Amino acid sequence: MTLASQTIQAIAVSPGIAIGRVMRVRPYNRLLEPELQKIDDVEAEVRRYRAAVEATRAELTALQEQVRSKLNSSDADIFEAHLLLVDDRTLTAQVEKNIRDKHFNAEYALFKAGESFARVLGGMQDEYLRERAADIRDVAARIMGVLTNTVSGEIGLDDRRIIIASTLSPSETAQLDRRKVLGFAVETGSATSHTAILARSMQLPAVVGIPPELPEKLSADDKLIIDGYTGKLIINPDARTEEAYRLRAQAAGELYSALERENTLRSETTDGFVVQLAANLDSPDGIDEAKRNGAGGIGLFRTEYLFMNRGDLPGEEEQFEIYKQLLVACDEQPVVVRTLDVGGDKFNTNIYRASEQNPFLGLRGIRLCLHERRDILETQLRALLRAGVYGNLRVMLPMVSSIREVIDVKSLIGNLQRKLEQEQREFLSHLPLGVMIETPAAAILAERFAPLVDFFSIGTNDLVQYTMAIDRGNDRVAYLYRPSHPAILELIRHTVEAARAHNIFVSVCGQVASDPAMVPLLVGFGVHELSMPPASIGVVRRVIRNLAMHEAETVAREALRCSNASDALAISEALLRRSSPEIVNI
Amino acid sequence: MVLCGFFECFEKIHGNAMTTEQLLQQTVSVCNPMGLHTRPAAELVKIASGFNAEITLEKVEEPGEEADCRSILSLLMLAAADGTRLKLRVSGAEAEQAMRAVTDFFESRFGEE
Repeated sequence: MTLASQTIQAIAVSPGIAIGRVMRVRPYNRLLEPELQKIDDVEAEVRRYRAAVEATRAELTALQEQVRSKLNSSDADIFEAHLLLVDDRTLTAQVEKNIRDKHFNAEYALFKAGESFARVLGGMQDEYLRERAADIRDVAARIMGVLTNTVSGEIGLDDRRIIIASTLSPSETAQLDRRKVLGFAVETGSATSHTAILARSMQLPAVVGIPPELPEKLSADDKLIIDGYTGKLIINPDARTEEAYRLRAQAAGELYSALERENTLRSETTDGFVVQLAANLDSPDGIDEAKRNGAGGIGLFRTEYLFMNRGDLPGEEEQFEIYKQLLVACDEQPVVVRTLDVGGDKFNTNIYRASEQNPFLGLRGIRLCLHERRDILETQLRALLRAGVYGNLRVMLPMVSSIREVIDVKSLIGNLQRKLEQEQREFLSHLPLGVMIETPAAAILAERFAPLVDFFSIGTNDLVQYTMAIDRGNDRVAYLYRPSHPAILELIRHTVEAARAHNIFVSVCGQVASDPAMVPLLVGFGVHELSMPPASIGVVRRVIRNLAMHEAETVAREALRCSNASDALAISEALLRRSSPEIVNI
Repeated sequence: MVLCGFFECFEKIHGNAMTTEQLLQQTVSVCNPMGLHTRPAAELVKIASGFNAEITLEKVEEPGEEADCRSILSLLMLAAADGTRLKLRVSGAEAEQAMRAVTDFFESRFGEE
């Protein structure tokens, strides 16, 4: 049974077009109830279980090695606990007891034991321990796969297929035979998830955010088109659509391989003005991708990942090593590290437990770090000051809205430097410091911030949200989320002018920096740098190289006179259409 | 201070002529904001597995199931939060060395800050 022809709008996370049939990847962490059989020869069944445990162990060890070589070593660490769980004495004893006392088959004995432990953990008060229930199920499901011999069942196909799954863990992604994968469509994830990063490094198209029920509905006979440019997922396309996509895939493939060859070219306009292109990264995983795309540095290195998925906080030494490695890997290219930007809305309950009615307007970013959790900021700054001697480090503060906040951080840095000196440690004596311009307050006061800092970075995503007074997660006001709105353009212009008047560097690191239609406008405003996801750099470089500064400046002037977002965007887009038609047509 | 009591009880049980079977007991405390979570539990399993000894932990305030230090699952189910006092029992040929290694581990706050 194949599904009716239909198009689904998902989120594009890796460019390209894939056309092919479906390969579903079974979710490992779902422990399904197997059939109960009564066993006579219980000792033989116990031996069968032990053999499966051994095989699973070998499989996990191999996988851990694979992941270690492909991804960050911290991802490989998740296997440590899993490896210990596979032949855990308590689990094994319970499974064998179930086999011997109740004459259960190994599958059912494992299911009963795994579920009972997962339930106990899942019912605990401690949130952290509750989440460990998933680890038990993941491991039990893995052993189950070996017992029932289904682990590699779907993967051993002889033709190339499109992977479809609800989620793909780093281990599952690493396990796939790359030669047999055409692309990915998964339910959960984002542009910065492992699947997305891996897909881009494999140069395979990928979309995320597909409907949760879709993987279950699709079968191996369904044909899919993944449009990694627009995020469209087309199920069982008609012949005409498929042909049109084949042609587009060819044209896009040619353009992207041309862009790749241009990655060493300067990003300068036809009349010789250079606009730096930098990469936004969520973790060190993306460094290679940034280099491949010819990034001139890291314009935004988010540090939230360091604090995620763990119960404790990263210490100074741990952070020092990470920042040091990052700086060394970037070879003297500028690296802008943003201090921890969290609030009451997300993760690590260890950082901040209070619940706020409106976390985005609450104790977030630098506010949290200066008030409730100064200790976190101190540890982070100390690690940064020490690591700074290994490269070209700049530090950026998130969610700044008052001059006072910058002064406080500067005096804190001074104190930390004195302490480091007393301890006779190596550290950076001048730490270039910048602020994110993402609140209207910061943008309006840009002239007063400028003498205090070394650079500005305009974070348009939050700037739009706070200026337009809209909740980004609220669909009903999504129509107001327009970065080309006259109010936003005015704040960007104002910030860039203040930076230029005080001779400090100004960058744009929000989503708009990678939107080809907005690039002429931003270049026309006179920003020094655009920072974006590494995969977008090639396209933006081409757009800039096709652009004349005097034309971009005219566009910026005209756009500022527009009374609405659509008109302003249309003016910028018209210039893009004239100067880079090949980009518009993909 | 991590070690809440010194050797509260120190018993020797004589085994066969070749080895000395000992049962050592001591009280240790969890000094880590997250309690005995996955990483230290995994670490403890590795430490415990390195000795020819049976090592268990039991909550002092809520005696009940003893956790086997060579089983990560068992340690997680113990749900030992920050500040929990635990009765550590060690027996076997290498009991003394094992006792030292495990108490050191608790004293180091599981090697985290």
